Order: sequence, then C-alpha cells, then structure tokens
Amino acid sequence: MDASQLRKGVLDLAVLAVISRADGYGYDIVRRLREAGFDDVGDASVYGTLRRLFAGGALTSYVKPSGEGPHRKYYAVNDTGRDLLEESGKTWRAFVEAVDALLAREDAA
Amino acid sequence: MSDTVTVRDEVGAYADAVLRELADLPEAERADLVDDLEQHLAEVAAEGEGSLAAQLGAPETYAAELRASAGLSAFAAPHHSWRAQLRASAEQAGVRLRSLPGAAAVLDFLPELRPAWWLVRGPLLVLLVVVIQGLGLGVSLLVPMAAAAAASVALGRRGVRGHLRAAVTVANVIAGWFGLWLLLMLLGGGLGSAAAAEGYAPMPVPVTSPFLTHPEGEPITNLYVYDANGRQLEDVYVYDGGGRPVEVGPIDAAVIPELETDYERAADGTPLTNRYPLDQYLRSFDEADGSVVRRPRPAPEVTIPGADDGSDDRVAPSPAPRASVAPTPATSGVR
Repeated sequence: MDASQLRKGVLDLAVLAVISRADGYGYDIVRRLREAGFDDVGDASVYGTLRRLFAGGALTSYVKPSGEGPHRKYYAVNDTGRDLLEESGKTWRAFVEAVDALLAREDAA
Repeated sequence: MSDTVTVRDEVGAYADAVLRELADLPEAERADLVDDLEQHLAEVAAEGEGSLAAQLGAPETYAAELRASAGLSAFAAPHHSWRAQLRASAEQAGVRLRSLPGAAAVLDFLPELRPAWWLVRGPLLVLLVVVIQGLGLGVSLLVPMAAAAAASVALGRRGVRGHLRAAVTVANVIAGWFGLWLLLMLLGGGLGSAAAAEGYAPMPVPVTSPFLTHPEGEPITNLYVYDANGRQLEDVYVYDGGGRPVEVGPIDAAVIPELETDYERAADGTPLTNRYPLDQYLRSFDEADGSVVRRPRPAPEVTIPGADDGSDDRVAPSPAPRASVAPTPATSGVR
C-alpha cells in the first residue's frame, strides 16, 4: 500500500495537530511534519494546505519579525480550527479502529 | 556577498515562474500566496543543498501541487499567454539542460557572447537590405556596415525598454534568421549568383567528362537498342528512373575528333537529345581529291543473348508460320 497516499489524505489533520501544539510559520511546519514521520510530504502541499485551512477560517495568521530575515508569517489554530481538529480526530480514530478490527479478524482467520 | 545576490536571484526567478502558473488567480489570493512563497524559497535556499529546482522540483510542479492542496482548480489557461507558456517551457528545458554534466558552464558562457552578436547583427541587417533591394555587393558597403555595427553595439550596451524593446527583439530575430541563411548559403557556395550580379563571373565548372560514361570513365557516345530477337530499334526515347531524358551529352572533340552528331528535331526545332540511336557521322579526309567525306557511323556489331545473330529471319513480329516448321539447326541459336 502506498503510504504517501494515506499521508496525503490526513495532511489537514496532521497540519492542524502540529500547529495546535505550537504556532509556526510555513517551513517550520514542514520541518515538524517531516520529523513526525511525514518525510515525503511535498513543501508545496503543506503550503497549499495551510492556505486552504486559513481561507476556510480554521487558522489565523500573524507576522513576526525574525532575527535575520524580514518577517515570518505564523499560523495559529483558532476556535474553528480546534473544533475541526477535534471532529477530524474523532473521524480518524473511528477509521483506524475499523481498519484494526478488520485486520484482527484477518489474523484470526 | 555575490552568493547572497545569486541566491536572491534564484529565489526571485523561481517565485516568478511559480506565480506565472498562478496568473489566473485573483490578485488578493496571489498576494497571500506570494508572501509565503518567497519566505519559503529563501528558507529552502538557505538551508538545503543544490538548486531550488533540484530540491523542490520544477516551478510548474510546485505550482500544481500548491493548487491541488490549496483546493484551487487546476490552472485555467485564459490569462496564460502563449508567450508565458513558451517562456515557462523554455525555462523548464533550461533547468533540465543544466542538470547535464558541463551544460551549466556552456550556458553561463552564452551571455558573454552577446557583445559579439551586437557587433554582427547591424551589418547583417544592412546586408539584408542590400539583398532584398538587389543591390550589388562591394567595398562601398563597408561604410554603412561599420556604422550599423557601431549603432547596434551602442544599443546593446545601453539597453532599451518599452516598445523599442519589442522592435529590437524583432530585428534580432530577423538578423538571426538572415545570418543563418547567409551562413548556409556561404557553406553551400550558393553566393555565386550574388557575386555574379556584381560583375564577378562565377567560377567556370570544367566539364571533364560526357554525361554518360562507362565505369572506367570512357565516354558513352551513342546508344543502340535491340529487342529480344536481336532486332535493332530505331527512334527510341530513353528516360532514367526519375523520368529525366538520358543524354550522352556533348562529345568531347578530344574523344573522337571525327565524330559529328545530327540530332533529330521536334516540330518547334528543339533537338531530341534522348532519341536513340543518334544520327552520327564520321568525317574523313579524302586524300585523293582533298575533300572532306562524311559517312554514317555504322552500328556496332553485337550479339544479343538468345537472339539469332540479328538476322532478319527472326524479325517478323507476328506469329510467323515458320514457328511451326521444323526447328532450325542447333548451331543457329539456343532458343
């Protein structure tokens, strides 16, 4: 099974989860996702996802001046984002349980 | 310091290429995307190794991925001019080309050749005008050509903007194509006609052999055609595989000095040069009375395989009664 397709499917959830732990700017979020195991996620995919979540009202953004560069756009999860994360988290866990149950029956058989 | 400049240029070029792919989006949306994009590219360039294209893929790919994950529709072409597409594909080809070993060095060297092009394009345009107007080539052309070279170099050094820039591009393209054509003509020696117009005679091409020769180079002076029965055919027109008349051509006097050819002529007087055998005569000097005697050149003596010595017995085209007669003696043929 192609794991990258699976990861792509839950990228929204992963991005929300990463930001909910700590605010971050685009590339920082890419890095944290990679560290968490999303190693083959495309940079542009993360930026696009951020863009969509922001446009959908799940994220807020603010500009923070950085030491060397001009500024960085940070993203934070707002209430809508937190609700979405909770919803998506439930859906994900239910999905995982269902797949696990199926796999357990396969093993027993 | 120059490193910083290069990095910034690369980021700018990559960002421009991505934005071109997003040209159909509303301005506000694009502005938001750019904000993140340049920041991102600068970060990747500062941290990773290799070019941005090597790390992130081609700008077009990046843009497509961005669109897909941002939930934007795939690129809608209307705002995308063919020029932008051309430029994008050229850039992509350039990125691919650069990845070839040694290609980067050659590509980086190309801009250094620009002054040479500035020097050449002016005179090329002058030459083009001369050729179009059908004027002659001559030393007097050197003055306008030198002036054109100087003007073109000055233009190249100063650089142009706006409408003039489009005009220069057009002139560059015209000069380029004309230069290429000129080069091919020179290589092909086809400039002879232009030189002839000026009064230089084109170099005469020495005709060293008749049109038709035997493999060893001996000229073929006439053709005699026989049918399967060994009968010599008269007034036969001969053509090659391309449908062109086959001619023996002018017979060099050095080959057979006494040979004379009288061509049959069409109603309008044009010689029928591929109608064989040609009427040929051999001149000889009659020592008795000091006159020149012309006698027909005799047909060669040949043996047609399977034919009966060319004797008249076999000539009859209709099923001759003699076919039913007892076979001729074995000595007369193999049929």
